[in-house]
Amino acid sequence: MYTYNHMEHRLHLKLAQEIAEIISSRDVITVIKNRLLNQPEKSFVLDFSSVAFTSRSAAHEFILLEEDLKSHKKQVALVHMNKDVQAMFSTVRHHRIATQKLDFVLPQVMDINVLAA
Amino acid sequence: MKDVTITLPQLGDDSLVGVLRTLYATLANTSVQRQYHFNLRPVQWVHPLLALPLSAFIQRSGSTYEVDNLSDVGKYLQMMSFPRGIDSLPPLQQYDFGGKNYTPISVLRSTSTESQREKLQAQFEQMILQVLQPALGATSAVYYPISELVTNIFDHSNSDAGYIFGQYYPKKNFLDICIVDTGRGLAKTYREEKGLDFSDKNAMQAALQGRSTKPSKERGFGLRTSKDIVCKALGGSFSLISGSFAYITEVQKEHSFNLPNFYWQGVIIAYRIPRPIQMVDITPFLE
Repeated sequence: MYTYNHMEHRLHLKLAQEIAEIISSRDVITVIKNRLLNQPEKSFVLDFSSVAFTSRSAAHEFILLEEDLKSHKKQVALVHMNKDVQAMFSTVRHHRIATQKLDFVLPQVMDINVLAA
Repeated sequence: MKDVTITLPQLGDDSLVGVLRTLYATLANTSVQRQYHFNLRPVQWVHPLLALPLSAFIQRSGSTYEVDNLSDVGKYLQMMSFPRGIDSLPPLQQYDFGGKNYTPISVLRSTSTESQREKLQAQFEQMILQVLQPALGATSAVYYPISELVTNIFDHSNSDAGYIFGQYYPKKNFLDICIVDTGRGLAKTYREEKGLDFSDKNAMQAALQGRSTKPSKERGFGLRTSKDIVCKALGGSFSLISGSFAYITEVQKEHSFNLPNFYWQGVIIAYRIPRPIQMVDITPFLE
């Protein structure tokens, strides 16, 4: 649900209403990003009021959205995050690169029929 | 149409390993390309790790089933909307718990819009919170694995549907969640996206190590961090099945199984968490 803030000259999007109160998926954010890129406005507010939780994947995708908009000379402000959502965004911003845990090795393989015997 | 009678799990063995054995016995020597008639009459209880894959298999293959509708199992399957599940928001919002401790089977479809699917998933997660009633400060820990693991279905599997189901056992004080897809599975995803010819075992190991099939170095967190939150943050158990291979970590012991004459086209995840009774900080487990 988009509203235009005439005082601030920004398009305002309430994410809990536009998406859901729990935001998990990357593709729903890609849809939002493409819409914003196609808007004539240059400045947007993504309002996280009533968003209870975002997944790590979703937070990462929002950060990529910020960067994509910036590269198109557009600005976006992410506002009214609760502390859990803030913590998720902070974690993602500080740990962008995935470290592979190559020391994880599957345990010795058993045949399921041995268990059943 | 071939008859398949579902065997009872060993009495008292409701461990994830025990239920895997029942799933294996039920679906060994079957193929989603053929139709079967599943006889659930001998069954006295149904675990999510059996009910949900069976629901997906029946829908995918066009198979049928029979159960005594007046029995406890028959009523339970009806109440959970087995096998078709609920795939739109209004009936899910209208679901009357009425003292029940389980959600209906919820089906997320790729044919829905992204927003419709997200709202349905959010509704399911809120329903899980409603049955579990975790301590304040533990909701992120409950939401995180569901969010990440369901997202993986539509990011990676090329599946047209994801199936989710949750059951809380108040006397045992734990929640079981099952998440199923009938997509391309782990090995085929590595093959098609990275040109890596992995066995089911090696594909599972790579996935659990965080080796993403996406080009970005910033991907690959979801499965591994979800398992860590379930097992380390919440003290739970976790199982992963794809193709002919299964991995289970339970009571801090890990198991890997070859599943001969069994093939799950897609991925099945089932995990169990005790009801969180205090705040859970998931941030140490997100990297």
